[in-house]
Amino acid sequence: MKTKMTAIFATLMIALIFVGFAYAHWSQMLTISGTINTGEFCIGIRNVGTDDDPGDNDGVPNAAVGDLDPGYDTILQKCTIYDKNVASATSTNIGDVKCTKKDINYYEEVKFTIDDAYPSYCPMFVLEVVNCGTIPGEIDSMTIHIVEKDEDGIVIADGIYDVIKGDWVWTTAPPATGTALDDIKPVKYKIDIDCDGDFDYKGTNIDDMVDDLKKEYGDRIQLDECDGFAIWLCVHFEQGLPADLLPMNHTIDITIITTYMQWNFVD
Amino acid sequence: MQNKKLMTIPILLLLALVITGFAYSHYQQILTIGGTINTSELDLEFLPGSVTSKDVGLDWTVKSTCDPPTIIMPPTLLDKDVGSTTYLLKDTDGDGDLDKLELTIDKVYPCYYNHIDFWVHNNGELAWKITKVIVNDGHADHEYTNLFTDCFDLDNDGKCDIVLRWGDSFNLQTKYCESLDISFDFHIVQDAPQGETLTFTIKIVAVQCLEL
Repeated sequence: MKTKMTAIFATLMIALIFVGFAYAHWSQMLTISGTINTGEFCIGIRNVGTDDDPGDNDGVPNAAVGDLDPGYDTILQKCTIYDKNVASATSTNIGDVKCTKKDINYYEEVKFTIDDAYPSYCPMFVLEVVNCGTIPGEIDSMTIHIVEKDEDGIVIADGIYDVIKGDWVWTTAPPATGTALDDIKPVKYKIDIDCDGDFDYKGTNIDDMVDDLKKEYGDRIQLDECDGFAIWLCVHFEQGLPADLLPMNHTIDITIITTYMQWNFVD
Repeated sequence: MQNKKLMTIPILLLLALVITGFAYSHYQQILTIGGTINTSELDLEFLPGSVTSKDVGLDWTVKSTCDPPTIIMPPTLLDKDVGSTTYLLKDTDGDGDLDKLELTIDKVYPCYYNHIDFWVHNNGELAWKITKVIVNDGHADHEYTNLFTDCFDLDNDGKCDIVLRWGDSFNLQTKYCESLDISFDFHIVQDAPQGETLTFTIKIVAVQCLEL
C-alpha cells in the first residue's frame, strides 16, 4: 500500500515537472517579411512597313506616288524610281502581342512578302526590335531559314544558316545555277538607335550592319530595359550573270529566327 | 466498566482544559514576509544598423538546384544592376524594439542571388536561443530547427520559385546585451513567374535559455 502511494506521488511529480517545463519557458518572435517583384523578360518585334505597299497604308511612306516601283541603279549605286507599278512589298506582324510600349504593340514574328519581283526591283523594309521588359536580353541564337521553290512549286533549296556559327546546313542544297537566292542582295541599310527618328548608322551590306549593331549593343546585341532600334533595309534583285539570270516565277520564303535570352544566361 | 467511564471523563476534561489553556496562555508574535516579484524579460530585437545586403549595385548570381535543394557557391558578380534588394527595420508593436525586417526584392529574374545578414540583439534580461525558424510561403508553414536549404513555391503553381538557405544560428545561447549574427541567402530560379509579386514570411522563434 505504502509502495503504491509512493509510486502515485512520484508519477504525479514527474508529470508536473514535465507540465511545468512545457508551460514555463518564455518565447519571443522576430519576423522577416519578403516581397519579391519579379522582372519581365520581353523582347518584341514589329513591322513598320515597306516603301512599296499597295495603297501606301503602312508606317513607311512609299518611294513614289502611285506605288511606282523602287529600283536600284547599279552603275550610280543609288536608289531610283521606275515609272511602273509592277511589284509590291508588304509586311505583317505574326503571332500574339508580346508587349506594348508607348501604345505600340510588339510581336513574336514579322513576315515580309514580295510579289512580282523582277531584276533591279529594290524595296525597303523597316522593322523595330525593342526590349519592352525590365530584364536585359542578348541574342542566344540567330538562324535564317530559306526555302526556294521553282516555277513548278518544287523545292530547289532548303537550308538553315546559323548566323552565330556562320555555317549552312542544307536539307536540299541549292543547285549551282538557276536559283534566285544568289541574286538577292541587301544594298543599303540605316539604323535608328532608340527609334527616335534619327539615323545613327548607315551602310551598304549586312556585315557592316551587324557590326554597327555590335558597336552599339555588344557582340550579342544586348538590349537593356527600354533599348530598341529600327532597321531600314533595301533589298536589290540583281540581274544575275548571263548564264545564270534571276529566274522567273520562283518563290523564296526567308524566315529569320532570333532567340533572345536573359543576358546572364547567354554563354 | 463504570470505573473506566468515570476515568475517561476527567481525562477528556483535562485534555480540553490543557488545550484551551494553551490556546489562551501562549504569547504570540507575528512575523511578516512581504514578497514583491519583479519578473524578468525575455526580449530580442533586430540590432539597428546591422542589416546588410550583398547586392549593393551590380547583381550577383549563383547556381542552384531544387532536387535536392542546393545553392552552389561561390556567387559571381554580373555586369548589370537590374535587380535590387532594399530593407527596412520596423517596430510593429510600439515597444521601442525593431521586431520586423521588411525586405523588398525588385525586378529580379532567374539566377538573381542575394545574401542578407543581420544581428539579433538580446535586449531583455534572460538568455535565449533560437530554436525554430518558420517559413511561410503564402500557403503553408514550414518549420526548421536546424540550418536548412529548401525550395519554395511562392505562387502555388507546383514549381519552385526560390531556393532559400538559412545559416546555422540555432541553439546558440545569447545572453543579455549580446547579439547573434544570422544570415540567409536566396536564389530566384527558372520557374519564377515574370512580372508578379510574390511574398514570403520568416519567423524566428527564440526561447528562454537557462544554461549558464
